[in-house]
Amino acid sequence: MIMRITPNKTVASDRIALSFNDVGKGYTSDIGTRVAALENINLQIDYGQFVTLVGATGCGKTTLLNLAAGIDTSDSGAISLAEDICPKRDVAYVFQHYTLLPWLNVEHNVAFGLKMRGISRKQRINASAELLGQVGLKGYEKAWPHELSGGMRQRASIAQALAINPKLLLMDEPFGALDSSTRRDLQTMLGNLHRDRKMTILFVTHSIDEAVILGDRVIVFSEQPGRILEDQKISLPRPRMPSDAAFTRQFLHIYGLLAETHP
Amino acid sequence: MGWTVIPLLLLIIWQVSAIRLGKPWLFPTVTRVLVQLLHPLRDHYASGSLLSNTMISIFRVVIGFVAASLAGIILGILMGSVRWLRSLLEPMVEIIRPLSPIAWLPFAIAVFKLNTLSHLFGLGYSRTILDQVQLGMLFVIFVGGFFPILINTIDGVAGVRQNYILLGRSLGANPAQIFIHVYLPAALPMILTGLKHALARCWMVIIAAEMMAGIDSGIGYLLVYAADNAAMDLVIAIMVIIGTIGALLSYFIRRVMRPFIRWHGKEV
Repeated sequence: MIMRITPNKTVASDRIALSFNDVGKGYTSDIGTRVAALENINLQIDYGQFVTLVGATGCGKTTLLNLAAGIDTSDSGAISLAEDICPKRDVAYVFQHYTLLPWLNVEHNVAFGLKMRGISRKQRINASAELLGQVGLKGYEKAWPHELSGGMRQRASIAQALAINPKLLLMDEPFGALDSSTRRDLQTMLGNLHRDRKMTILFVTHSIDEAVILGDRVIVFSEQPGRILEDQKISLPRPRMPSDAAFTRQFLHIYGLLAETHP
Repeated sequence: MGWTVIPLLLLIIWQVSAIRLGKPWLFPTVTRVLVQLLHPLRDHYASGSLLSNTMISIFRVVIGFVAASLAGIILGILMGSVRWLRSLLEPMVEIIRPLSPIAWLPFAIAVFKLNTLSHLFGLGYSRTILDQVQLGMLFVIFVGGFFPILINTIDGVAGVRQNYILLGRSLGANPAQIFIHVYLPAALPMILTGLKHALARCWMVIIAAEMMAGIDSGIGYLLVYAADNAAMDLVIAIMVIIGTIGALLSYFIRRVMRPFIRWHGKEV
């Protein structure tokens, strides 16, 4: 069940959506020393795959997402998207904080991406209403972001990202600030949306639990420099139960890996 | 209505002491001031009425303020978003900004002479309110309004959360769209704060500017002229008008702003 892959070896696949080849990235710290954020990252992500990245906070996971989104550039190596994924049109990003534009109500936040594409007002409002229904926010079209609870805000920002019909969805600890039961609800919803829409998702979390519940694959990251410790395929049936024995085995395995590098 | 108690008490003390003093050219009664306020169309010293001079002052302020707003917002957005432009211009701004706008008036009058908006539009002496809008006066109001707007716009634009820009970009906005749909709305609360302060400052500046020598219209001019003629009832009536208009301007600009910044301070 657990497939171990040694670093620097590609995952066999004929349809790769996103790949990192020997990617390295460093930055200069406040005291002037050079810190490696990412080192020798080799990762190939297949179309439609739900990949979770797990590791301690500050291990370069977000940097990896930013590289994939084109927000940041790597120092070495290459990041490539499949030909039919346009980095400007087909990649959406969901953040942990400040995920909605505070001067727009929920409906217009969700419609924002469509507005940027010149879709007519009527069409984008209809699309927005439909998406809000899908994420369980029917009736909150006119609400303002600050009037929503943390969980509702993340539902709205998922709808906002889905509005542009992305082929690749990047998520940076989107549920990190939520309480555990809200988190569970949103994980279930995201799992269903992924199943129905067949998009590729790269999801960063520091929760091992969350990584195993959601991922088709879990990439375990070490910290400083960020390196892939293990690439683990999760083939447990869905919905996944953390109380399940097989689940616990995988959880403990990843826990062990992270504890080794970060005692 | 509890708040009216103290003003009413003060008015009564004023009225009684003015009657007892008996020197209306120095300290007029409340009633004499009220009489002036109730006759806004009466001509004073062939220099126009309270109303006409007030309108001239408001007109000057509105034109100067609009010009200051346009210039301040445009340059502020540029300086807030283009780093090298900001480092190029900011030291100069910081040197000129503390200078009182009134200190510019002798220079402005020397440069623009007594040319008015009417001359600027090539109308010569047009017998309209444009004849009363001296370019030097506009320049001073412009200086008074420009800096608060500029500084607030720069801070507003430079302080836009990087996250909103990334969000806009990830949803497919191009640089022009980021500018219109992210930078502007995000900076709007600060820009509007700048406008509010600027308008209040313009109203103060115009009164002081009109009190300078060489000006022959406006509510500030009438104030000095009335004082020179020992018409203290008119002086106090004018002070009441100036204060009231200042308060109304501030009230209106806040009313106009409110719907645009309802979200401000509630970012999540």
